[in-house]
Amino acid sequence: MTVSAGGQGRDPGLQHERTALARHRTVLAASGGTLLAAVAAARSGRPVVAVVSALFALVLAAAALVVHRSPRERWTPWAVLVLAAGTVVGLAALGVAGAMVSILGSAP
Amino acid sequence: MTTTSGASADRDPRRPRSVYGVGTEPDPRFSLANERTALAWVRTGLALVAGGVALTSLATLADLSVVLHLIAAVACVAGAAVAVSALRGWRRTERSLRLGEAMPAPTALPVLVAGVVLISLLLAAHAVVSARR
Repeated sequence: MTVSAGGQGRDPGLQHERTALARHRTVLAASGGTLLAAVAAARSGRPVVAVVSALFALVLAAAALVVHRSPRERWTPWAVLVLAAGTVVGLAALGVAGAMVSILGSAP
Repeated sequence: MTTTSGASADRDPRRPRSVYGVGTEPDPRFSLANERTALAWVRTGLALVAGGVALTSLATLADLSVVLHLIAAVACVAGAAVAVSALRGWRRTERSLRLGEAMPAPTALPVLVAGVVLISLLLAAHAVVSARR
C-alpha cells in the first residue's frame, strides 16, 4: 500500500495524523517544561530568567499549534526535532546553572 | 551505495544534506514512524530535565542538601544527552532507511539507562546517608 505525501486521511493506519499529534504533544511538552523552569526561576528570585522563559514558553505553545497544522514540507522532521531537542538542551543548561548557583551560594 | 542522480539530489531542498543527499525515498510510513520514535525520545529526555529542574528548585525552596543540587544537575545533563542522541538516532535511522541498510542499534537507550541508574544510585546513597545522620 502506498501513501502519498499529501494523502492525509488516506492511510488507514493514520500515520500522518499520529505523527502530527506526536509533534504537537512534544512541542507542547517542551512549552510546559519551559513554563516549569520559569516558575522555578521566579521562586528562586531570578525575575529576568523567569520572564524570558515564560515568553519562550508562549512562543513554543504557539509553535505547537503551527507545527500541528503545517504541511510536512514547511516543518520538516529535522526542524521539529531540532526545535524540541534544542529546548530540552537549553532547559538542561538552565537547570545545571541554577543548581551550580545554589551550590556556590550555600558554600561558606 | 545507491545515490540518486546529481540533478534530483540538488532539487531536494530538505535538510540535513547528510540524510536527504543519499539513497532513495523510503515508504513514507517508515519515515513517519522514525520521526515519532525520535520525538518520543525527546520527550523522555525532557522528563529527565524537568525532574532535575523540579529537584533543584525544591532543594532551593526547602533549603535541602547540596548533594540534591548535584543529583539534579546529573539528571539535567542525562536528559540533554538523551535529547541529543535522539537527533543522532533519527539521522542514522533515516539514512539506513534511504540506503536500504540494516537498522542501526539504538543510541539513546544506553544513555537513558546509564542516566537513570546513576540518578537512582545517587539518590539512594543520599537517602541512606541522611537517614544515618
